[in-house]
Amino acid sequence: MQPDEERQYLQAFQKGDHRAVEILVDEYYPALLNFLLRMGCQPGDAEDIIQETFIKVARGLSRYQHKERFRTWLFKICHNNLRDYHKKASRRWEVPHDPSTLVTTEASCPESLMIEQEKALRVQAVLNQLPPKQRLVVVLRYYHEFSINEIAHLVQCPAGTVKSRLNGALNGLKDFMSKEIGNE
Amino acid sequence: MNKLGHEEEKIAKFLMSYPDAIPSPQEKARTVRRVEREIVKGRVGRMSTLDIIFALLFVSVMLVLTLFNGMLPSIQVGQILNQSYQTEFTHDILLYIFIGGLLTTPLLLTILPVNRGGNH
Repeated sequence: MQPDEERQYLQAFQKGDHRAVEILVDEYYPALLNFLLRMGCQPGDAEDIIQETFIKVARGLSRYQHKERFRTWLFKICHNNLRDYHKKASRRWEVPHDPSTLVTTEASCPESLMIEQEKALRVQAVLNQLPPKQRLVVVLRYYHEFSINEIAHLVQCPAGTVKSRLNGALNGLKDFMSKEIGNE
Repeated sequence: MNKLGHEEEKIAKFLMSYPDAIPSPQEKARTVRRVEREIVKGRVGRMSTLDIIFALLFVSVMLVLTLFNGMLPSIQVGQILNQSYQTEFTHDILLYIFIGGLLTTPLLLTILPVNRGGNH
């Protein structure tokens, strides 16, 4: 979506225009869902968090300065919601999301769906080994292609901290992966 | 350096093997409905600063008018109805209508949801 086009939709979204709400939800829902699932969120909880995110966006749009990308601002709100959610139900951190519960991947037949779920399960198991802060940086960098500066803005910490968390995460992932390959 | 780059590439490849989950249309439709409902609720329930200023102004003027009521000639409906157009009360009535209209019209215009734009 082009920035000008996005700005128009955002203005209409703020007024509750049905088409604009539909377009923005359609555009950003999948990215937010995958972000939350990879952060270990349960699918049902993810839906609640995404809804809360869009509601907060509608309420706070008048404060949005267009200095940062809308996508960055949206993810920042979503991340804050996720944090609040975990604070309210701290036990949820202990039960990471099980990708095998996902029924909606691009796989067309049951066999390929099983293979996809298997892959998801493997990667999620490795991601779950990382401390939440490192996992967050990895998910934002690799799956959502945010720059280091954008991640720093999003998680409200210096760019150097993001780099060090990313390095720590890569080292951790390397270890976990070698262990996993060694076990096979 | 090359080894590190190779390792990172391998990790990235492994991470990217995680397939994207695709949300169901029902999930998205539920979100659209809830967001729309919340936007409308927020719009109707929220008073703007302008509304509050008008409300305060309205209350204070009504208070002043009530306090000084003794200085103004009393208005009796029967009397008004019995009088022809040009009476000693005409100016007072017009003044009341003018002040009342001046205060209530903008207040109503800003409070009524139909005047706030968007689709209803």
